[in-house]
Amino acid sequence: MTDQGRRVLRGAEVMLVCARLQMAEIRTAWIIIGVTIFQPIVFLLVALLPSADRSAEAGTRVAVGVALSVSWSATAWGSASVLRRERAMGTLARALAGLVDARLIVLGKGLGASLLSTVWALATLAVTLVALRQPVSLANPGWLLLGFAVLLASGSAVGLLIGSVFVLTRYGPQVTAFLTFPVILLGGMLIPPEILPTPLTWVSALISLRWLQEYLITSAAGSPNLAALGYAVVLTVGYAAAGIGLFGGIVDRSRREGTLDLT
Amino acid sequence: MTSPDYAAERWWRAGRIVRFGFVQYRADNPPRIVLAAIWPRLIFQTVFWVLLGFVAAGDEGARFAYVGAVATVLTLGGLAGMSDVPVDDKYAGTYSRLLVGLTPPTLVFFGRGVAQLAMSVVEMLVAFVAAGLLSGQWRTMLELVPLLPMYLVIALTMSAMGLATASFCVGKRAEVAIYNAAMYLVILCSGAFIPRGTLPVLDVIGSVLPATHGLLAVRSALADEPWLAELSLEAAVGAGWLVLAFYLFTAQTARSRRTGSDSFS
Repeated sequence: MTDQGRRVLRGAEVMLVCARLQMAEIRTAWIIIGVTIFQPIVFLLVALLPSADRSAEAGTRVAVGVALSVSWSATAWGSASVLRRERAMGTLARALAGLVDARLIVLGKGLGASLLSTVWALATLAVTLVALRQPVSLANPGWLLLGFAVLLASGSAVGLLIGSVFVLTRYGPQVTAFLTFPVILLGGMLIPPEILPTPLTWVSALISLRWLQEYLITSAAGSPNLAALGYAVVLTVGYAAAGIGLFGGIVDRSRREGTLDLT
Repeated sequence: MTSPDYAAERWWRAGRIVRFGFVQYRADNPPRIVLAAIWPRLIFQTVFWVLLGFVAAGDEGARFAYVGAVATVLTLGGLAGMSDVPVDDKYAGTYSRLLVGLTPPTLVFFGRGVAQLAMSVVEMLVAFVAAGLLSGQWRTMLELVPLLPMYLVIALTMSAMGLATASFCVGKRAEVAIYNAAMYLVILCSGAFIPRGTLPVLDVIGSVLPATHGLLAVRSALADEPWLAELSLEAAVGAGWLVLAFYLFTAQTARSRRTGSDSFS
């Protein structure tokens, strides 16, 4: 095997180990219950109950919107907890200055957080929908799975961006809390982008969740909008590139100035 | 018998405790974080609920949601923030000192909670105005201005429940789940977004939660109907939570002293 091949394998192994570690970590963190159990139930009930339209189409739209909103909250909080433990245990500096690229650690942990919380949230949603006897359409399970795979990738990439904030400031939880609602509001998941003022629809177009929402709804109805999936993939690649650049830059700076663990 | 000096000293101590609550709030949430993260989050959150109301039930839904969303802003300071009051001692390892102090820990927590209560009211006012303008609900906002004292009653009951839920966080590492559960219960069951009568089980739970009766009073007042009975019920619910909080903290303190255990460890 070439050196290059070994490096790729080693990187994948690090990411997998970190994903498993993070899943073990968040299973013991109570915030996950708030985000993946309480939040989907509340969002679903608040969006569905006052509405007159309880068709399968409306049910699917709301359920997908809630799933994506919850996945976003879980990603934001999950990425927040990725480096929180390192900070609390005093291992942040070691993780960021070790032999393994810290970005692989954060990406792997972000993937673990997204995977676990998305599965939990979907389970909660399924139970709540059954309890409400709300019909939904699920025409193309394969296409839907593909959409959720892109969702996980998108979540991990954004996790890297949010992780950068946690290296910079100790007020990460407040910053994460701030990020949660604007994205849910502008991401077109529960609020159709059409009702937002025009300048904001541009912001909405830069959020991958908006396109995933469109793709997942059209897939559930039987005619997947692949162009929307394409936009989501392009945006995800963009987030990953920005995250890799930003996180690398911030870690370099912190190491140069010796401010790791001090902020 | 209490001498005048002793009474004066007690007042002085009470003042220091309340002041400490504010100092601690400021240390945990410096002004730049309040301005850049906490307030914008609450404004976005309120606008989100209003637009969700609009999507579900049109203009009437948006108005209904705005009236409710303003009250749910109080859950941040009143429930989540209040839960941090005893939890801060857990992380700082200072509970044992509170146990041997002159002022009972229950009163220390109540005193430090004043800052959370005050900040929750400020946060509510900020979201009330900013989200009212941003979401196009300025007419409803103007109609609500004379009714703001009713929201103040809701703020008091919310903080009372916050103190009671905070006491459950003592001795456990589950404070995040506990206050999250409390926040979502209020959002779901108080009739802030889901009109009363939609799902009876929500109404039953909501009847003992803060904001439920207060919001009924606000909505009645908006419709020129009698509101005093509901507002009194809101105050009664708050008094109930306050008594429960007092009892729970006092019982925990007594148990910690008796068994020598530190409930916070």
